[in-house]
Amino acid sequence: MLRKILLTCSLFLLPMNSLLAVEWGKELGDHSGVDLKVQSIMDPYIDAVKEISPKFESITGASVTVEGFGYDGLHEKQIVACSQNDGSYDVLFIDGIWIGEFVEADCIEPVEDIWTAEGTDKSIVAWDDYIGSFAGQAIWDDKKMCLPFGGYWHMLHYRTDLFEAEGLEAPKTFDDVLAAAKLFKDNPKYPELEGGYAMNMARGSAAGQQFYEWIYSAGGKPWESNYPGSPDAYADQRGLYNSAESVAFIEWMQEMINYMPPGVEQYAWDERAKAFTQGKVAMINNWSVRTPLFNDPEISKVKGKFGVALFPHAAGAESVPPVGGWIACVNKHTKNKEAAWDYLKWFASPEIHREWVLAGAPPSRHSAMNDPQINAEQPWTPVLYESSLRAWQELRPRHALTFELIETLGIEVNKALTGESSAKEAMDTANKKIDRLLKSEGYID
Amino acid sequence: MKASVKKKVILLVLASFITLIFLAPNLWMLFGSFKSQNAMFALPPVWIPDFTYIKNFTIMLSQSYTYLLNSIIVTVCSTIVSLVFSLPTAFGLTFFKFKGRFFLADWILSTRMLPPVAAAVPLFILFKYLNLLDSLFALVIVYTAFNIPFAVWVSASFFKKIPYDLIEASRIEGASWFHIFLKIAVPLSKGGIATVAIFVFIFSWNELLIALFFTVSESRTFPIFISAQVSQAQIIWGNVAAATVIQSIPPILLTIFLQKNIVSGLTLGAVKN
Amino acid sequence: MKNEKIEKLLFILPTCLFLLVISIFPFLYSVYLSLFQAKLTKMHKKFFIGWENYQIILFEDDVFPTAIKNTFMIAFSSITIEIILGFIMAKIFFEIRHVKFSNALRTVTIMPIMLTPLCVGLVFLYILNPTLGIFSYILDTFFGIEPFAYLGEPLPAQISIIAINSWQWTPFMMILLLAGLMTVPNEQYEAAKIDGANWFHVMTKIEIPSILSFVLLGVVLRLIECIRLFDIIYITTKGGPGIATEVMAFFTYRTEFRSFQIGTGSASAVIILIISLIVTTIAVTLLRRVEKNEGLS
Repeated sequence: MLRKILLTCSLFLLPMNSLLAVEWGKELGDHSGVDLKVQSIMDPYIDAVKEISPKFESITGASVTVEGFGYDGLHEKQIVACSQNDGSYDVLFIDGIWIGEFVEADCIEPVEDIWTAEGTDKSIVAWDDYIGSFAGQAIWDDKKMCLPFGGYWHMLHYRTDLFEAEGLEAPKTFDDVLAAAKLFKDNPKYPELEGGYAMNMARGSAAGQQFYEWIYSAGGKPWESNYPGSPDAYADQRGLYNSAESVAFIEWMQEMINYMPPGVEQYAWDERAKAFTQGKVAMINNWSVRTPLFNDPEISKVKGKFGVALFPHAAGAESVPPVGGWIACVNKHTKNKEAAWDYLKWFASPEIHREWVLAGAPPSRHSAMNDPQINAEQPWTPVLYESSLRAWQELRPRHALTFELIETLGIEVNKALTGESSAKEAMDTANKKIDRLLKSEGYID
Repeated sequence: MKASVKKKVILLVLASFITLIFLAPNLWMLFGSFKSQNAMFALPPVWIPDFTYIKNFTIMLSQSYTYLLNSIIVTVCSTIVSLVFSLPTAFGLTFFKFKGRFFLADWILSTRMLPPVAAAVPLFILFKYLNLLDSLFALVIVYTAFNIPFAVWVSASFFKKIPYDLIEASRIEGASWFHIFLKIAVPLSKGGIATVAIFVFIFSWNELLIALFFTVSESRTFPIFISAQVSQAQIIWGNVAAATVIQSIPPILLTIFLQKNIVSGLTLGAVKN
Repeated sequence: MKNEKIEKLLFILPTCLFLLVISIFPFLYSVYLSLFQAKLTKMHKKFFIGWENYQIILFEDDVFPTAIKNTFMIAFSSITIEIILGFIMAKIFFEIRHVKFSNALRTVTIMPIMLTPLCVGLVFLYILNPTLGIFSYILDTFFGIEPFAYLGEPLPAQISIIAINSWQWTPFMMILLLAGLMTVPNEQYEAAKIDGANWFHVMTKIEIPSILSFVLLGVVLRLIECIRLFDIIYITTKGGPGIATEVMAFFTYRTEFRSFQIGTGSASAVIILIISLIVTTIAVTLLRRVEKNEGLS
């Protein structure tokens, strides 16, 4: 029911002209001789970017090079280069949560300024067509800094064949998840399975992000003024990392470990997804960007045997699915600002975004989420759409300390999960360390 | 007589077993490179892969052959440049009896002690200022600087083996130092120079962090490509396996052909075969 | 005479100038930054704080002291293992040095030394996956040991790092000690044989004394490398679980490149530098001694 209401609402938000075709020949400048360099993460969408970019080349005469990096490598390289005013790369794809850091380092030419100066047609940017929970991550200090293009949302992925055999519905609450995980763990009927569920537990970003991803659905919040719908999430950043809800959530994870595969303490993104695609666990929570790969028979053994559901929530709390993903920015220090902007507005426009999604990338716009062809090719889109409408953009801190906070938290959460300290001890320490960090940089008094 | 043969056989079996331990992990990755990603992680394991399955290599190389070429260029150039700088210096430190030469040698060695992690940002700032970023040339310079201390020390230890009388005699005959260096010292230290060259080559071939910051598209090196296969949403294991195999070829070949020199290289020339 | 001076200068000066520009700048800049509260994303706002960075990482926070402790714990454990295993292996290969194949086997054994650290890390990440890796399969199937987090629980993770480190470097100790055993004069062995000395006697009275300087050399050279240990940890345990495998170089890396706290990061780098310099000074003394003992061999 709720889904229907949300769907109808969103259709009204859709500006109709966003679906009209744009005359790109007129809209884009001539950039012959420009070698446009795009810096991106090596996520599964990168092949789709490379696939559609030649179209831009043929319209504008520019050549486009898209380069993939690992997660840490990309972040380090971008910040080091930009702190020295380096403009080697024209277009920077950055993780939405890095924005505060990039603004602090003065790396980004705000797209809002560019399109205001240029007088770009509203239907090309079509900002209202973006899904709010993700588009919000591209805004900093009320200014639209970058164009969101690769939104990811977390969904619960579960094995439909196993759940049907047990006559089970997709789990909705933490209790459902726990009960199902218990049922599948060491079940002689399913000798293939090593565990019922798998989560990210490894030290650092893996465990740290996991906390932020789950805390809202667990009924808590990371700091005072950060809750879904908060008018200013950064108004009061006093930490609640050791609140009753936080500790209860960590304790729930500690219990869940019993029903996960042995050795899960070293799991990060790849191990988690590998365990699922190799048929070793019955459920995982995972970013939607990888979902298409679960149907690739070269790397997955569960093709056609899995379904998706909304992110689970604690009894008495709402499901707040985690949101993340990649936004495209114009490097402030580039010499090819016009070409970079032309590429961005072309690439992120509703029309090209649709083509990109159809090439195997994750949808980020209302128009794409409602597109029949996309829905046919990516059958999980309705659940993804509902997840995206429920998500909260400030899920993880976006200010300049984000990396350090996640890293610090990741160490302490990981300690609790490996039994080095109790949930309460770990979260008390985390709260204390984060408090000191925020104070030293002046985020709290 | 028989007992000693028996003993040798037992020891040979033991040695084979030890060799296997040091070979197995790499062998498993080599086998993995001939498997689909599903087969790489299949349980029970696919012990022997189908060696005609070369898709990992074709995909990986089609994405990365330019990087591979860059790596080769940078490695070869920095090896040559390192030798050009280091050999004369090592020669000088060995044969010119000036005050403070020990101190100078120690100082040269100490420049290698700053962890590369710490050197990355200052070097980036320096090269940005010199406007040399984004070129293979920049990498060659940095690798040379990293390699010189090692190269000077090892080659000096080999020059020391040249009988001083030989040098004296040539000097009396009126030969210039350059002549002595090129016609006597270098030919007599071929083995040592080969040692230096291997190690400088391997260091440059293996380097990742500086290359990550210093290169843009055309100048990216192969290790950057390998590290890029580990992103957050996925690790592209097919590429990782194939690239690891390719990356390991030069070190392995050098080990096979020049294994006699390795011990002296690793001990800064103190131990010679 | 003047010409000779210029000629001599030409041999040495270019290298010194080159190093002055390329190697000394990073060094001085790191020392300089270590005295500032500085973040890479806002370098223009850095301000002088004197020794405070050192104070913070050494005395106010528990992570860096643990990193120092871990570094030396890993270093001493790996080096001990490397010496013992390296000696055993050297003895075996020494005994069969005239046998066919032994040369080939030895060559294969020493390959890990030269491999790219990044690749070594990835190989072990692949093998040590607790659910899908070959290691857990072998343990489970042939030894009945249930899988556990080899890289994700404190003690196993430390052991794994030590094991990977030793796996890569034991061959180095082996060839070094093998070179040492080669220096033992044959007459000594024969004399011992005539005296009827057993293997233990040969080992303790003849072999160990003559390879002692090689062992020492191996220890210091390995210590220098262990102080900078980074890649394997970066790929496999990422310093975890908790801070069980956090080491100095990794701490420096993540302070500089994840938090961009380049002031604090530089301070830890300078500490690594100082420790390295002390160890190197010892190494250099030893190097010169070993070389002298070897004479003109």
